[in-house]
Amino acid sequence: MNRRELLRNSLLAMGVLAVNPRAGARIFAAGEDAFVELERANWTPGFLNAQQNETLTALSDVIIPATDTPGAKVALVNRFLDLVIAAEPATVQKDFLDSLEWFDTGAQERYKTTFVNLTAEEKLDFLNLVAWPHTHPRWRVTEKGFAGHDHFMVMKRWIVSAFYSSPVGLKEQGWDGWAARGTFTGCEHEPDEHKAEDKTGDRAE
Amino acid sequence: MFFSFPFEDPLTRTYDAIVVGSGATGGWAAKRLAEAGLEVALLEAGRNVSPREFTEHKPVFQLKHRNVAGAGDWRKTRPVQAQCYACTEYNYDWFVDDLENPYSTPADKPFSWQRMRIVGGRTLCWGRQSYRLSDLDLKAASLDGYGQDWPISYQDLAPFYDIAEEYVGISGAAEGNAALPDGHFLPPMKMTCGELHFRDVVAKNYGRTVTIGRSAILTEAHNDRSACHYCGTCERGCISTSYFSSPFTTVKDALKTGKCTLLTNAVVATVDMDPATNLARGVTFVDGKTRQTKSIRAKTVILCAQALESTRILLNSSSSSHTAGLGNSSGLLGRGLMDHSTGAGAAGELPEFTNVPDPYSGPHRANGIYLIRYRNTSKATRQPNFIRGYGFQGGAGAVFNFQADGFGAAYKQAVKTGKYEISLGAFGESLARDDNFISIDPNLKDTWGIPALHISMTHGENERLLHEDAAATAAEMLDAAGAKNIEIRSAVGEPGMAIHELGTARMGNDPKTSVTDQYCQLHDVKNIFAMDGACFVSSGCQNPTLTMMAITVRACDHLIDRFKKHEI
Repeated sequence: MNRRELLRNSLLAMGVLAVNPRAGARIFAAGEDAFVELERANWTPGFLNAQQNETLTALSDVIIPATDTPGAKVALVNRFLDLVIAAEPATVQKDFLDSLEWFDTGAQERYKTTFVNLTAEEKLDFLNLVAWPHTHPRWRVTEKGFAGHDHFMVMKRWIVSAFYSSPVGLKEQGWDGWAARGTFTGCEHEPDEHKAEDKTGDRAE
Repeated sequence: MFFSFPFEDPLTRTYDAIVVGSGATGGWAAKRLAEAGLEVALLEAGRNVSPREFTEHKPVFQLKHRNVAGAGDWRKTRPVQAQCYACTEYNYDWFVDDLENPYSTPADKPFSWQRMRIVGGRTLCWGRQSYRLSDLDLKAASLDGYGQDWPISYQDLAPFYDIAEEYVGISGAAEGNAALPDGHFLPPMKMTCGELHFRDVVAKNYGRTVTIGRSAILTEAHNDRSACHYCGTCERGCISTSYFSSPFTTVKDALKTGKCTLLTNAVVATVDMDPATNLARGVTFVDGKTRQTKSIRAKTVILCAQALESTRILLNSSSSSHTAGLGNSSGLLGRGLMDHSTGAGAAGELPEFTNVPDPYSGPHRANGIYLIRYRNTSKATRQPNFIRGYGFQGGAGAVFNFQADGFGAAYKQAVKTGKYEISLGAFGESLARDDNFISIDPNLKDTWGIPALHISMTHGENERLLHEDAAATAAEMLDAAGAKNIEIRSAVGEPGMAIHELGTARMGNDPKTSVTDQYCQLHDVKNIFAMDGACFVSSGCQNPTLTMMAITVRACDHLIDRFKKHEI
C-alpha cells in the first residue's frame, strides 16, 4: 500500500471541509483508516491461535497467490479475517474454524503433516482435489459425502472477500488510489451498431 | 438545536405552518410556504447532517469490518435497518436505532420498516428513480373496478410534476409511452452495449419500451449544483450534491428565506387541538436529547413525516371529540397500507458481449434501465388472472467474476476477465386493501414514551400472480436477447422491502370513504394536512417519491391561496 495514495484518497473522501480530524464525523474519526491497524509491526492474532493463523496464511496464499500482482499475503488476508471473524456470530465462527481445521486434518490424513508443512506441489495437488465439485451431470453421480469441497468453498469465500476488499485487491480491480470518477460513456457505437467487442476493443463482425 | 432565530425562543411564537419531517415532502413544503412569505417551523425528529460525514469516496478497506455481513456491533441495534441495501457500516447511524424505535407485527406478517431520522430523511439514501404516474394509475379503479380512483387526474398533477422535475433535475429520456408520461428531463445517462441490445430486442419482438432510468441525478450543472462525477455510491452522500437530497436543496432554500425555523431532535408525538374551534393549534413533541415534552403553535399543521409516521401521529392524537384519532371519522385512518411488491425477476449472462469490467476508479453509473409497464395497459394487454402491472429496473454490463471456479493464478485472471451480466427486477403494484393496516400498539412505546405502531400487511394473490408473470416474461425477454444461464425468481418479498410505504390516509372526495381531500387536508379538521405518501389512493408500480413531491407542491400552492384569501 502506497501511503501517499492512501492520504490522497482520504483527503478526497473527506472533502475540503473535513480536513480537521475532529470536525463532525461520527462513525469514523475523519481520515480513519482501519487498514493501518492491520499493518502494525507487532500484530498478533486476537481470535485465531498461532497454528490457525499459519494455516490460514498458507491456504490464502495458495488460493490467491502472488502472480504479476501481489497476493493474499501482502493483502494481509489472515489479519483481516482474524478481526472480522471475531465480530461474527458464534455459528459463523464455528463454521469458519471447522473448515480451516479440516485443511490440517485433511493434510494429515493424506500427507502425514500439517497444511503449512506441505510442499508447494503438495498444496496444489491437495487444493485441486477439493477445489472442484465432486459431481458431474453426465456421470449421474454426486459425492455428497466429500466434505473437502464444502470446506474449500467456505474458506475461498472468506479469503476472496478479504483479498478483494484490501488495498491490493482494489488495485487488482483498477483502483488507482482515487475514488471512482469520470463520465459514464456507455456504448459508444453508432446507433444500431452496438455489437459485442473483443478484448482489444475492435468491433466484432 | 434551533436555527434561524438564535435570539428568540422559537416555541413562543405562533407560526403560519408547522411542517413535520424534513425529507422529500417536508423539504418541499417548507420551501414552498416559506418562499411564499409564510412563517414556517420545520420539525425534524433526528439530528442535522453535514457533508463532512459523507463517505462516498472512502475505500472499503478503511472500514474496520469492510461492511462484511454479520460483523459489527451496529447490526445489533439495527437488525431491521440492516435489511436495507443502503444501510451499511459507512452510514448506519443515519438510520434509526431499532431498539429505540420499536414496532410490532403479527407473528406471521413480518414487515421491514426501513427509516431514517435525520435532516433530509431518506432523501440521503434514496434510489433516486423518479417516475410520473398516469391516468392508468390514478383512474385505475374505473378501468378495472378495483378500489377507488384518485380524486385528481394526471392533468391536475402534471403542472406540479413539471415544477418538481425542473427544480430537482431529473435525467432521462422521453419515450412517448402513455403508461409512463414523459417529463422535463436533463440529458439521459448512457446505456451500455448490452442494455442497448436488450432495448432493441425487446422493442422489436414485444413492442415494449426499455428506457434509461429516470433519475434525480444531474447529468449537467443545474440550479447551482454540479453534474454527477459518477463515483457510484450515492447512498453514502454526495460532496457535489449532484443527486437530490432535501438538506442541500429544498431545506436550504427554505432556511435562506429567513422565514423558516428548523428544529432538530423534535420527535412529534401529537397534534394539539382546540376543542372550541375543532382546529389544530400546534403539536407536542419530545426533545430527543433532553426528553422534555414541549409544544409549538401554528395556524396549520402539515405532516410530512413519512406515511406511517404521519398516520401514527394522527392515531396518537385522539381526544374526546376524535376518539379514534384525528381525521378518522371514516374509520379508514391507518387502512390501505401499500408497499410495492418486489422480489421477482430474472438474471443471466450475455456471452456475446466480452467487454472487460470498468475499473474501480473509473466512472460508475448509479442508475440502470427501466422497462415500462406493459400488462393491463390496454384491452390488448389485459391479463386474465391479475389486475394492474409491474415495471422492471435492471441493467447489463461487465462485472468482475468473483464467482469464478478454481483457485490460484487462473482464478485471479478469471476475476479480471469478468463476465457480462444482465438482470431485471420487478416492482409490482401493491393493491390497496383495508385489511392491510397500521394501528397503535397499546403495549409498546418508543424510547421517548410515544406509543408505537402495530403494522399488519401481506401481499395478496394478485401480487403473487403478477410476480409469476413478471418472472416468466423477464426470462422470455432475456432468452430472446441471447442470455445464457438464466435464473428466475417469482416469489413475493416481505412487505416493506421496496421502502415505498404508501396509503393509510388516502385522499378522496367523499369523507366517508377517504381521510383527506385532494389537497391532503383532513376532511375532519380544516387545518391539518398529510402531505406525504399517506395520501396515496393506489400505488401504481412506479417509484413514488416524485409523485409525493408533486402532490406536496400542489397542496402547498392551494394552501398559500387560502392564506392569501384569509381563509386561514
